[in-house]
Amino acid sequence: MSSESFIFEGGPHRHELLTELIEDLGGWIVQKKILAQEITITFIVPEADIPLIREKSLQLRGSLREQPLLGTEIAVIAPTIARHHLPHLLCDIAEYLRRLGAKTNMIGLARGVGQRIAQISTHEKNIIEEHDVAVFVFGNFEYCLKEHKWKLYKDLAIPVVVTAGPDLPSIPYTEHYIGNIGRLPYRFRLLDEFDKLQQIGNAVSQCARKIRGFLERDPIFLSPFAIREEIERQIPEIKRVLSPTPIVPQIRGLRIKLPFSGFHEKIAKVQIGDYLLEEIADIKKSNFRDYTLVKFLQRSQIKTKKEII
Amino acid sequence: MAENKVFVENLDQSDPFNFGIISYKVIADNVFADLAISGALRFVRILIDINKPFFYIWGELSITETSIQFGDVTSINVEDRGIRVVIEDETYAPDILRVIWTQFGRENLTQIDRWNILIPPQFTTVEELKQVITVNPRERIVNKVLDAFNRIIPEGFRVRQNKFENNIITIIASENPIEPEWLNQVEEALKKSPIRIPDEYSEKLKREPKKITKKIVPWKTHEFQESLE
Repeated sequence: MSSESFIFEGGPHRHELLTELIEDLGGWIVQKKILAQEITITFIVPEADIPLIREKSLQLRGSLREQPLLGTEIAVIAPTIARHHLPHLLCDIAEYLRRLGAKTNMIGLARGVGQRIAQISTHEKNIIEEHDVAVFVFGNFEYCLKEHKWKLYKDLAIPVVVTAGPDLPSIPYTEHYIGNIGRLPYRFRLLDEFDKLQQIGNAVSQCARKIRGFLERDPIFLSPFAIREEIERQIPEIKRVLSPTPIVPQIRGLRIKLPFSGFHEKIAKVQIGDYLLEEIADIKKSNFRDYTLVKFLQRSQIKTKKEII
Repeated sequence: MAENKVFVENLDQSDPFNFGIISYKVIADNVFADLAISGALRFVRILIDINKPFFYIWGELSITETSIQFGDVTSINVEDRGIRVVIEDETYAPDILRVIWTQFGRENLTQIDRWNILIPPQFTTVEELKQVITVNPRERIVNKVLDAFNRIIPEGFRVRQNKFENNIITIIASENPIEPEWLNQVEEALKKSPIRIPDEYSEKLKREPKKITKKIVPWKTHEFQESLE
């Protein structure tokens, strides 16, 4: 059954009623923060039980916002990191996706500029494919976009959302195209500009929902959030990592910010129920620095792997 | 102010006012405003042919040659130990120091404090020193204009030819070797009078708060509360 993510903001008085309801429904509390008279609870519940949650949050006089991108890692990609492309547009898009619950990484390609000279290396492709969805931010000319820029994203194995200047319904090799956002020299401050950002958010969340839909038929062993908690419990060294998110949840994986060389054996031996982590997932070296990348196997794949062992 | 000076034209006449052309007008206006050089430019024309591809900028400066001489910003006295230079306008201090260091050698000069410098008597005379050109403000402006042009030109177009003569700066940029026939095409286009982008096209990218008919939901309300009302 598919699930939906929300963020609850309200007073802490009797918030246990909500947390208990979430647990009873088989949902998952990702984060709970109490700051003076304010509480923020980020959680996931099954789609069928959303009316119950809404009723409860009305009783508690709190607000409920959807977080369609919670538990996803998204790459926001510019042709290069020169001032022609950064910072205005790319930062706006990345920040808006963060508000929808995603973890975003901003990536500048080395040689993504121009028409004939635009290219992407295998290493860059590997880095982008570690994410769930890629958002490409291109320039203003229709000719460049249609004739030349497709070679940057044609071969990617993940869904691609492209934003650029010309107002077109769609362009080849992409899941979604959002026009009227090109290379612009200012920050987005007006409400109709925010609508464009919301369009990008909707497109990305549709992609995420599609991936989750595919996974429903042959699901992964356990929610990435559950496995994240288990890893935090069994590997105490993770507390010494200084990054704001030491373990980044993805739709079908985790990025653990511990060096692969020192920790991959320890991570492989984490106990998840009757299984070890290496039995239900592939543990790889990430292309980002020396991080560890865990990609979960689907149920059918777990079976075959156990038989081989 | 810069809006009436900058003209962006498409050399490919099949779709003369597409999104790229309108947006480059916006970019150019913003860049000139950011660098505060719209006063220094009389007229700018940008010619774009994206299919070849090339990008041509033609800019006419509005300032004439004026140079600041040594006597204008310093007072010069003769003393027993040599010629004493007192810097009066400190904004030009780096330029004054650079000029006399290169001319007389840094080790020969005595820098008494921030404003006072002593030049040994055998190097120069007061009259000679007063004629030395400290700084040319036009050069600074030209550097700023070139910087602005570099910001406007698309980053991928790295093959460039610059020309600067008679107050006119031109840059042609492309990612392929520049062909002479492009320059002919540009020259012909420059003979015609510039074409302004019609208002119905430029309104697409005008930044004005538009009237919104839909109801704006405050940050902390959820959508189903609206349905209850």
